[in-house]
Amino acid sequence: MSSKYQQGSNVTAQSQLIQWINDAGMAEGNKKANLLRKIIEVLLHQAPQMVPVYMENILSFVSDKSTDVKKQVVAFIEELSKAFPHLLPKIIGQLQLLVIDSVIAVQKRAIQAASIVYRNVLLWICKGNAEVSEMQYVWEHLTELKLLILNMIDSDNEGIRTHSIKFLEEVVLLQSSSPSDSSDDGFRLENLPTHLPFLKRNSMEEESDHIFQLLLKFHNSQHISSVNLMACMTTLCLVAKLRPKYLPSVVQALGDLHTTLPPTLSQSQVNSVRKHLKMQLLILVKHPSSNEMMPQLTQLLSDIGMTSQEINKVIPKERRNKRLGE
Amino acid sequence: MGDLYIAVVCSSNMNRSMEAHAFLAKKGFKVKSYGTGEKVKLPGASADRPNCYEFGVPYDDIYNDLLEKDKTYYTQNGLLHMLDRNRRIKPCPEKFQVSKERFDVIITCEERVYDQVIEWFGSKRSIYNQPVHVINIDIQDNHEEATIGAFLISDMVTKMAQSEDLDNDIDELLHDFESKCHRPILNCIMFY
Repeated sequence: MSSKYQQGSNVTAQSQLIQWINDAGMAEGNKKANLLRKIIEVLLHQAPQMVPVYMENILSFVSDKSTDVKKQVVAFIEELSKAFPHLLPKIIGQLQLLVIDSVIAVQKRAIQAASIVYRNVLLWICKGNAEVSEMQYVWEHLTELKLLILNMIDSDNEGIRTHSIKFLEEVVLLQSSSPSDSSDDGFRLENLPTHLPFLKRNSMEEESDHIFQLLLKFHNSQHISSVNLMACMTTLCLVAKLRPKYLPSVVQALGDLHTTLPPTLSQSQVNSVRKHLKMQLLILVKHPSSNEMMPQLTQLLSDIGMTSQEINKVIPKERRNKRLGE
Repeated sequence: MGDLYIAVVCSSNMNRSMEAHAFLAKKGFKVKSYGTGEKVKLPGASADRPNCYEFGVPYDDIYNDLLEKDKTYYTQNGLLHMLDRNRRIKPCPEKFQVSKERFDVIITCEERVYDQVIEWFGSKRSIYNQPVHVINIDIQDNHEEATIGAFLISDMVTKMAQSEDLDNDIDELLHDFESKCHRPILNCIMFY
């Protein structure tokens, strides 16, 4: 009974999909984007077995005129990378095109998707179900994509720079080993297969170090905007929390920032940046991984104007006692 | 950026955020409002005895509760009028920290609320890497200031909606806005 019913609903979904795909071909702008949204929704959730048949129809909109249509294609690629990773060889090239699209909004959405796809590619490689040649093809494209975004940290556009900071944060975290046993959202560098000639853990970690240094340099550059300075500060503090080997460099960078703020900031931007610095330091102090650097962190908190009473209040109780016992 | 998704956040999702919510919604913006406090707090018969409710208790129930407690007093201090306005906008006050929505811009009405919003983002990992601009404008928690605040927020959001690339323009836009409204602005970018 149920399989008959399922067959019936599949036929309905399929004929609906064909209708919408035809309509989308004739439609323009918003109407086309809305049709595409419905096509993707039904395809992924009601007729997932039809994905290989119709995915090309959706991917072909990669060079559409409408920004919203192209953003829908990005969202589709992002979803596919998670739910249908075996299709990664067919979609990775399209994502690369979208990252260098002529429209800034599309580029930003594509960079945002790229960090999610990056994680999903590594998870797919860890599963080891695919052909080595396919994995190599995807990895090489992903490496090109990464280089493209790496260079975008010097883009003329503020938002592109913000998005690349966030992408690079993800690469640093994915390509460095986690000190705890718990994996970050299912991926651990230690789980990467060792037999793949194109994928070397050591060089990935070296690259992670290199990108981290780049983020530090960006954070302490003199001409950074206030918004990107704060985005970068949040990124560095998150990296410091999850990868304590980077903690000393981050604390140093925050200290340097406190003494020399970029000269281009207005008074109100200075206020926002100082406040952000304090908030990020407080988040860092409360995190267990900051234990080793507690004296430097409390000194910095006192430098930015917190009283010792206020500082004591924010340090978790058990660590406060430990400090007293030392 | 005609489809900006905006959140206005104050402490109790009663006065400042709701005034701005009503104003922005009337202008056709896609907007939601929230509170970050532990509880929804409203002035009571004396300063040390506020009326406290959980987030999620309908404005209508709060209205009836106050009506029953002291109709004359709560009519005179404007609370019943405010609750009546609120219940026409949405069913109940909502807590920001449990919201699953992803906004483009979050506007907070006081520094403590801004701090709580940043702390909330700091307490979790971003999943979608979708950026959101968090902006604070100080608005005192009374009826007159809430009205002025709603005007200011609406002005600012209108300028944001006119920008073709908000991420690129926000620094300048806020700088200009600040010099016009003569109130200090705090802002940063966080990620969902």
